[in-house]
Amino acid sequence: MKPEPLLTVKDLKVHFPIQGGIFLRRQGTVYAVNGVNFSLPPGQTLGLVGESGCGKTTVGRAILNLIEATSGEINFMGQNIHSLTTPKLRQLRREMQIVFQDPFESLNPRHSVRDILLEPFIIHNVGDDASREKSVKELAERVGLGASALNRFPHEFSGGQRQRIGIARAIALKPKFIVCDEPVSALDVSIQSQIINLLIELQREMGLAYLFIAHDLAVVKHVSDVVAVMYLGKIVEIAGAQQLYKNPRHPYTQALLSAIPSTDPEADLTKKQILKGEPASPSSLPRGCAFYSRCPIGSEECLQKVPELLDLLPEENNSSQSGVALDAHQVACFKVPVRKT
Amino acid sequence: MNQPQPLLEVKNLVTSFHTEEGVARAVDNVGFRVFAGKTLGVVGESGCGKSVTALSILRLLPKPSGRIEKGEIIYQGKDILKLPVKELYDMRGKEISMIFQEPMTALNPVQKIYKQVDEVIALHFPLRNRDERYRDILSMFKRVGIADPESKLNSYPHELSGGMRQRVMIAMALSCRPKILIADEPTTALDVTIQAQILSLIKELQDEFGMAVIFITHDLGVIAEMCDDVLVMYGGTVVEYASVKDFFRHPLHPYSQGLLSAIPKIDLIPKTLLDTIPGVVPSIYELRTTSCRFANRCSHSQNLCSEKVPPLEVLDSQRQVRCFFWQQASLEFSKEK
Repeated sequence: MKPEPLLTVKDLKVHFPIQGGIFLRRQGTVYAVNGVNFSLPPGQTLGLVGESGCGKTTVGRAILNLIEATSGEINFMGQNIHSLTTPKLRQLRREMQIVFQDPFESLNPRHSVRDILLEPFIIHNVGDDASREKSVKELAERVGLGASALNRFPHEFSGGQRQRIGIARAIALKPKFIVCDEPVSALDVSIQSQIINLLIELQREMGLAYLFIAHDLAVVKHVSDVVAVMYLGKIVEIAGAQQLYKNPRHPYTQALLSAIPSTDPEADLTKKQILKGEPASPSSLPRGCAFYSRCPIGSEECLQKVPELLDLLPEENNSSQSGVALDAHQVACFKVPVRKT
Repeated sequence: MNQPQPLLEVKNLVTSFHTEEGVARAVDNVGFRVFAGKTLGVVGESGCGKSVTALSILRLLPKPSGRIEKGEIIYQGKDILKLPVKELYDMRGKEISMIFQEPMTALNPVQKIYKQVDEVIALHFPLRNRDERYRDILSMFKRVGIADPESKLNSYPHELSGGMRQRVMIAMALSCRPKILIADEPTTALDVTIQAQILSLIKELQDEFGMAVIFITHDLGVIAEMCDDVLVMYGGTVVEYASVKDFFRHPLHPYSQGLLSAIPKIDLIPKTLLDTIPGVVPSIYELRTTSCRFANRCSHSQNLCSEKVPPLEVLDSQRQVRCFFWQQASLEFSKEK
């Protein structure tokens, strides 16, 4: 039996108004997230990839209610977070945390590391002074900073170490779920692998679930159980990490994978698929499939209707290994054989 | 066989920054050669001196803090570092051009694109008239894949997307057909699919114009795809120089090996722990100058490494490495593989 999901997102939409003129009248809408569905079991990682402007960060923020969703339902630990009162939501926030991309901007420069790590305990009124001090020390040790770091300030640390502070803050109250928003994108290669390892270890120890948002496909594959690919506010393909990389079906996923520069200097570059053009603007979505303008296999049909995210037919699903997390492989494309609903 | 003549040769370059925090030797004794039609990749992490090396070639260092202390940069028999300013200006953009990571900071935000590109050509070819220049620009814009070039020429930089701006930068850099293009992380700020477009564009143009490219990046995948030779920098020094094939097959320096094994690869089993290089990337103000700069993070380091600076050993014309124990390190590395 499948475990009860920790988090379920149903038809999430986030639209931002474009305001202008002297009366700030609404002049248009940015369709940042336009109908996203997924669920995440406890202790697992969902990777969310896509290019800038595809809405991946907005999904993460909307789940934590840091951005108000326009419509849709977010269920976390069996509760719909939009129907909760503020005190209830605050309680639930203990269980959901976020690690930001830029460790330079997400830490208060005037607070020492101790203050930064104490804050969650104070806000949620957890423990007394002595137990807090003990927890803070343990946290600093756990993320590899050492207790001596507690009296220092963020500017004294390098990018990688600041990211460790951000992670320590996120795990302070032993949450069940962390949104990792591009946590390693700003880091050097040799530091990146240290932070990825830390996140993997913490997940094993604490049973954390991650929503891992990144644009680097190799990194996402490495940390995720399931990977969802977003394009202009929608998920276009979702599958187990191994499966998605072995058998990508959506033309966008295929192009994304093929665009990653390979570290094999003898790789055959002539097989490389290079997409033409650039994504449409999320404020003026085209009719039909949003990917049509760049798609190498699109046809008339794609201009008329928006493809839904549907299950790939089982015979098309040639994964031999037992699915780690989700057995489903879903694709939103008319050109791929999917099960019609 | 005759050795081909290098187009550009950098010898013993030392560049430092004099700031309130002290003197930082950002580039320490760096040397390399660039050949026509070939691409040299320069790879390293933040603060390793790769960008400063590039800026030194064109003498574009920030003043007054940045200074070239020593060295020669020979281009066509002349030392760029000794050129009078007038000749230097003539050479920049015409003989050696540069594109940057963030085109938005390299373009003037309050000037239309046309004016900015036209300025370059007008400066270097004073005899061409306006119409000729406009025709040149238009054909160059078409060449770099800018759709609807007339209207793009009439817009401001902020009206274009990141990928388009980088195309404008490339068009501008190549408008005078330079012999050398220095590309400083030109695709780092771009999405992967746009990166693929820009990389293949640079390659095509290189074949067409036969220019040499110095490609600076931290992305080893980009190095593998674009370059013929690679220069690995750490803490302001060259730690390894090799042909791309040799570098990816048998990296000799422990730092190169560490970098190669630290990147997550698509064929790894998910959620296994990655190899790491322990410690942090050194700041240029706290470099060790009397020992190997990588010693404190190196798994092969021995007493000798903290006593002396290892020399840059020249193995053959294609291979250099700066490590006392590279033989051991590379033996172990190939065993692990």
